[in-house]
Amino acid sequence: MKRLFILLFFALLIIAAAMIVANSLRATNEDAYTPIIEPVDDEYTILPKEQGVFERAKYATDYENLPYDIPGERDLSDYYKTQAYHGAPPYVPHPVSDDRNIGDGQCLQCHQNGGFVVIYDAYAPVTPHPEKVNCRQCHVTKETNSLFKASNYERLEAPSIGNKALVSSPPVIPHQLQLHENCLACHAGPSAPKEIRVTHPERVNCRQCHVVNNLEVVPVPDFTRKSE
Amino acid sequence: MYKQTEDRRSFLKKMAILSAVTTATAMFPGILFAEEQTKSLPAGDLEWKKAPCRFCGVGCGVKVGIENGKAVAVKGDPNSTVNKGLCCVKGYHAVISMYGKDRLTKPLVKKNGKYVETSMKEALDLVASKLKETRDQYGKDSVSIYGSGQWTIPDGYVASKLFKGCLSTNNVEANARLCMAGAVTGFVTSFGMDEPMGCYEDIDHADVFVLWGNNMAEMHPVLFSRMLDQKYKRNAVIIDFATRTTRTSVAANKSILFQPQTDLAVANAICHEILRNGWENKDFIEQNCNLNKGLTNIGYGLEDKFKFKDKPEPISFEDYRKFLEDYSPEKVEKYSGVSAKDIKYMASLYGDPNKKVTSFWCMGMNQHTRATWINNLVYNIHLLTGKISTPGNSPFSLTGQPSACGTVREVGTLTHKLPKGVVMNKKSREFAAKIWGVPESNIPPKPTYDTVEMFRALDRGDIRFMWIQVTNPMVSLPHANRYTEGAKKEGRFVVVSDIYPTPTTDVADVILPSAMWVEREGLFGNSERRTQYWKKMVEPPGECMSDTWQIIEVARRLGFNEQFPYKEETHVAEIYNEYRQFHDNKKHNMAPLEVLEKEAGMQWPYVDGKPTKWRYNSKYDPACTKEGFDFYGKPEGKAIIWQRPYEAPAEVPTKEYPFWLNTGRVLEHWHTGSMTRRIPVLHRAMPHAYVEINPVDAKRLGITDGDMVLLTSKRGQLKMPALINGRGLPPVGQVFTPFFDENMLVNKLTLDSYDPISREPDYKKCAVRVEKA
Amino acid sequence: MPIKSYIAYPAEGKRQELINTLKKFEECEVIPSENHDIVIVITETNSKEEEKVFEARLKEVNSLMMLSMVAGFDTN
Repeated sequence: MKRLFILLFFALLIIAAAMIVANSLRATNEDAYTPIIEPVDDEYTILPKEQGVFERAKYATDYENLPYDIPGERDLSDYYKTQAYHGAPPYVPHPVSDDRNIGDGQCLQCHQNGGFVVIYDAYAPVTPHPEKVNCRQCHVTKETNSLFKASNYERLEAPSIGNKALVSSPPVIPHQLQLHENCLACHAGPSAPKEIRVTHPERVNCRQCHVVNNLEVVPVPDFTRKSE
Repeated sequence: MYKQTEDRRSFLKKMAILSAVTTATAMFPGILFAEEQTKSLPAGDLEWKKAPCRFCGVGCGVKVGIENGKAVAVKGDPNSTVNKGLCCVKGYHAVISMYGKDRLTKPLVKKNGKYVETSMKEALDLVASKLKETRDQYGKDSVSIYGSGQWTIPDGYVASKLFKGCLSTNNVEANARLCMAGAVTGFVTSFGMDEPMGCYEDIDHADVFVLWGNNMAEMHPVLFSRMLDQKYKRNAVIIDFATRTTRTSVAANKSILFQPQTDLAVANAICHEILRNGWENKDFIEQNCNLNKGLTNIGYGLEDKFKFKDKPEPISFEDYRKFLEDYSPEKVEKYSGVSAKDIKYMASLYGDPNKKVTSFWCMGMNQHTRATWINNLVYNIHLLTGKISTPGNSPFSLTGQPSACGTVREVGTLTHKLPKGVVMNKKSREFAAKIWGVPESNIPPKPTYDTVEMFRALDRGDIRFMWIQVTNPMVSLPHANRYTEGAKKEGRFVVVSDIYPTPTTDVADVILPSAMWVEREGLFGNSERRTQYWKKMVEPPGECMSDTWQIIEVARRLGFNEQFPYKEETHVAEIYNEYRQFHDNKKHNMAPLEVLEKEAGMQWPYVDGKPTKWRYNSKYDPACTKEGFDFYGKPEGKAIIWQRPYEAPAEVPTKEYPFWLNTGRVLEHWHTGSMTRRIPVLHRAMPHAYVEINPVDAKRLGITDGDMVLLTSKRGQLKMPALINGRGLPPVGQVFTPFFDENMLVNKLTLDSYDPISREPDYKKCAVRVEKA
Repeated sequence: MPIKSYIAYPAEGKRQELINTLKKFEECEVIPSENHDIVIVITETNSKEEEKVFEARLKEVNSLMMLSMVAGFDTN
């Protein structure tokens, strides 16, 4: 009789154990799942035009507190002189040390964050696209002032400053955004041409007020209703 | 002579100010004065007058520059606590919207299919006689008025008084039904009273901002900038919880994407996680909350004459805990697309007792077939953690129209509402009738049609006369095809008061030219309970007349001289003073006009000369009758935590229509763009609508940026250019398109399903097919 | 009609209170500084007598620590 009880007891134990294991298995099965949402390719989750606006935002308060260094200022005509036409990549107006280099870190050491360069007595302009490291693909040096042959090319002039609709309204962005998504790079800090240096870098969300006026490839006529 | 002394006086005053400012600057270098910033502008002979911005519900204070009787400039009002001197691009160019070349300046009457110019007197005569004729022939409920949150307070007030008080019909509705109704029912079910407890100042205190389906960088840019300020100066954290990647996502600290409609489940999962970790504020819940559940499987309002009434039932906290078991982050992860880790992260932010959390939302939660539920659920999170009604802790429902709160919600231009209370309540009817000078029996005790149903009734012929003011329903209604055709039917008389020709004026029998914004005197109320007043600054063109005065003129022609005795010069003040009587109590008192004239707006409840910034908290709100929190809209002063489940949306992608279609707005254009598209700067920046497609889908369908794309839903077809990797990025399987473009009318495709409780349609979810055109 | 301008110093921590109190007087206009405690006050009264009475009332304002006049004009 005693033996029977012991056997029964063990049998019960085994059944209980089996049940616990089965239950927990079922429970884990419940929690095990395959997400039904397909993961989105990360490459596409960036918005270059939008992201750029905020790229240097973390320096905004620094920009705000920087004093103006009047003698070291650059003006807009200095800047446009380095471009063949409005929007063209500026040439490199200073000698470069290593001609075998694509640019990369060598350019970025001055042009990523800017700063005063004693030998040129100027502030290094900040690049709006530091992620493009083959700098010299577009930015070439100037080795001579002479021409091979004269050109009839008519330069596309940059728009004058003050592109505003009303005396009080924020100027529009008169240039394409491609490669120029980062507003603060060129419009804030001591290297920014003084005419286009923003008075309020701390406001960061630039495109809240400043909209592009030539997003379209062809000029946009005024709004007209499509009559049916 | 008088003018001369006036000039001399103001000159001397300016001199006095100038010398004080110079002295102050000498004493404290770098000192700044708001007024001085204002004066440093290239003003010339400009005269700057204050007004609230014409566009969105943020309610920025602006100063309008007037020169030779024309509005020529705008700047942010540095005295306004809303925007502190900053505007967005729409605000800065707002005045240009008054000077479009095709401005309606003369009344037009349709005769044999052609519009003929007439005088305002004749047009108003015709409107009044048609209204009377229709009412006599088809009954009281055959006439209706449809306005919007762009109605000024006096506009909405006289509309309600005329239709509800004098014409005995509750056929008064407004665009806000398409925009804010879910927020209203959310507030009323959770707190018993409409409108936020907090205010914009919460932004200056909060440590964490959670944006629920709210692309604030484009839709509420001024508030977004205030938030960014806190991000960079105080390390505040911004979480963008949305269905697509936008400018807001890239500026936020973290972007979390969810599948459409699953915000319901995620909100419950956050509550689940809060309770699982014991992060709930037990004392707060004990003292200040009751728990309820309502009906489930409540339908989608797709059928004509849809009826629904919720049945709230009390539940215990244990019931609620048990209900949440279905919403563990691991379970919700499966269908929401939000990882359990992200849900737990959000819960930890809400649950951290040392963090102040503000939640913002707007159309993402309100244009939702379960709008009331999702509003309730976000309040649940704030109530469980006790993060409410204190600086920085705020569930905050933003608005899209300048006076959605001030006019539609406070004056109550919705079928069931009165300026105070609802038509179903006898006391409210008696109170309104007394102020309006009409017998109580005039106001019918039953609500009639909500907006969608109202246009369905016009289509069916139950409504025969409709007056549409200051909005553009033929662009903004979902499933717009049906309602455009309906309005054009024989035997319907449609009057449209507007400033420009729109698809809505196209269906009108009479077009009345309106005076807009600063061409007239008015008041708006913004999202943070702030009432703002402005004076008339310029003369309206041609025969343009304010919407208020149009209604008064018609009311008088109908014989209601006694109820509309106002003088033309002072009518706004008279109406506002009459209206204020409705809210003459500590819970809603509005500031007197003299105060509003001086200040850049004032928040209600305005008690003892002070605005109330945080309601329901005895520290700030004099209407509280008990120490601590008092949610006085509800019995026992206790707010309601609602048990609301996840339910699927009305239409989901199928094999035939495999994409979700989401619609919305863009920074440059406001609502249907009838004003902003006539501002050249804004039009050039955003000339037409587009459809955003995920690059993966685009590649599969052979669509490249700028290609024309054909969108097809069960209700219609539309061609529009593709935008790939532009300013927004929908996930795979979803597309997004802005709705402003009347030439590419996306509301022909959208579904007119709505939230049964608020009766607000869902513009964010329907199924479409996408093909290269 | 005398017009006077003052620079006002609020008592410690009472800047907002001072601004609010001053704004209630019909006779005066208030220009608070954006980044400093001081407030510019412009008063405009109908006569010299009124001016004196008002000045006395101003000085009684509790939240005001110091008031110093900068300029004064008379339109007559």
